[in-house]
Amino acid sequence: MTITTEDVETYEAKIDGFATQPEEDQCLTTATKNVLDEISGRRDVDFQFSISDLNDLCDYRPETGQDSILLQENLNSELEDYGYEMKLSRGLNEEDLRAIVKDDRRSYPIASVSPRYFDEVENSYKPRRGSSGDYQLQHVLIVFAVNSEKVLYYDTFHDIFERRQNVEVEREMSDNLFYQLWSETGNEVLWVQKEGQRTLSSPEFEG
Amino acid sequence: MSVPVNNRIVFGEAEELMEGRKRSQLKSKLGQGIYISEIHETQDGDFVINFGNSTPKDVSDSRDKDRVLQFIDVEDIYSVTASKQDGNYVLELPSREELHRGYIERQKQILDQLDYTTATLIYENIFEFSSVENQMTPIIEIVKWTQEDGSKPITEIEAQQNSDKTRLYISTLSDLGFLNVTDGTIYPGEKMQSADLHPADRTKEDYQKELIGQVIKDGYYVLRDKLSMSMLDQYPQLCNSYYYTALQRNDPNLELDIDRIQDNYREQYNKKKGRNKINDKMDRLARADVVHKDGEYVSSKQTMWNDLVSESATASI
Repeated sequence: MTITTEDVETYEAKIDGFATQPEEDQCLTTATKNVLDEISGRRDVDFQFSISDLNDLCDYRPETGQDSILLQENLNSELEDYGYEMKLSRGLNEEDLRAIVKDDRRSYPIASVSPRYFDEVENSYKPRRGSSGDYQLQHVLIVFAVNSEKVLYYDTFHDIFERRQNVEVEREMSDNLFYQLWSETGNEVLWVQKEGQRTLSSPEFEG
Repeated sequence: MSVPVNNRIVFGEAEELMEGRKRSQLKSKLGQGIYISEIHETQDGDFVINFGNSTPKDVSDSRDKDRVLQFIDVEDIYSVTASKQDGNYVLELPSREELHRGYIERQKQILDQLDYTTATLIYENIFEFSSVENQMTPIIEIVKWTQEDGSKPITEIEAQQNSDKTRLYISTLSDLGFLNVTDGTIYPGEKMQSADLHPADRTKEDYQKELIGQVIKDGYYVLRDKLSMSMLDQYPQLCNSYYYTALQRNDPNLELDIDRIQDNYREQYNKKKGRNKINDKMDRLARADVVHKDGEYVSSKQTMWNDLVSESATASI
């Protein structure tokens, strides 16, 4: 089973409205802004968070990245008024991920992937290792579809190159590769949902 | 499984921190680009853990638009010691503020070192820029007059320069070994008489130019910070608004346009300069053979690139 035409059409329609990443080290807050805007439009709630607001919530400091735990803690104080919450979990499985994608009351999930992800993106852009000899940045991807063969995802780095011109970007990878890269982060996922939802399949999942 | 929010990570073997869940846990708390650059065990059996930071930077060629994302790794921004407690090691995590401060300081050191190297390399090329010459004039005069006359009363120099900074310049040059001061009179110091600087076949002008170059090399930070000679900074910083990115990408053929150089100048030095000013100054640096410029596009001058690479080899750029 592969990614369907319907999956791709949904993906293209959704990312068309996505915010672009203003700085190279703001992938987490850009991804969060995009999933918040997407669920906001779909669920008719009026989230008004700019990337700058989200940067403040996660104690963003230029070039030293972003703190996902702090983002979750502080964003939840804001989302409470709307009856929504951000969840940050580790140890989920692909069935959980699929359940989050398909649940209309949940945003698309933001999955953390191992720094080795950058070995896989040559067709989209050209990452180059730093002086340590390895990739060190733990990146995030917005997951749109997961099945037994492929994962359809959005990489916020696609939009940081100011002068990009209709370059075909990577948006799919094999399920096995995704699972490996995701597992190397302890299967970390962030998503936004209506408060109080607790039914996902994984025994480890606590909602 | 919910993510623990406390500020410690417990581990059995040091390698556990370098991969998998513990590495991810560390990044969730400290920042996605924070990594452990080195772990070593002390004689007491503790582990000293050094943190580094990796940040992505768009270093695309402005003309080719080749979408290159370079990761910039800065090591040794902070270190902590993890001690053994009840059979396991406990790593008390530093705050993001502490790590950020460590990163900013290291980053500043690296850029400062590069600017210093550049200042010493380009001095002779930009010596005759009027803004540079004007600011350096009092130093040049003191060095030149002392060298020409063999000795000079300080009061005489003060009277001619009519500046309340003359004594400061003299004491700086004396501290740096270029002058000797005895009983209110200055004499050439050891460095001014150095055979390396003063071969018989050199013209007086060349010697003086090189001598001033040596003063800049030996006294760059004092002249810049204590004597407020901002011109020493300005042209190296403009230069490195191009070369820093080219060195990070390790590509002398990289072409950056004026917009990108303006962005780099602002981001690297937290200073603003208008686009036209930047363009004009890059034109001047191109005429002085410090950069190559083709219309809007700036690239390396091969000799400058070679010198910078050889001088910066240990600077972890």
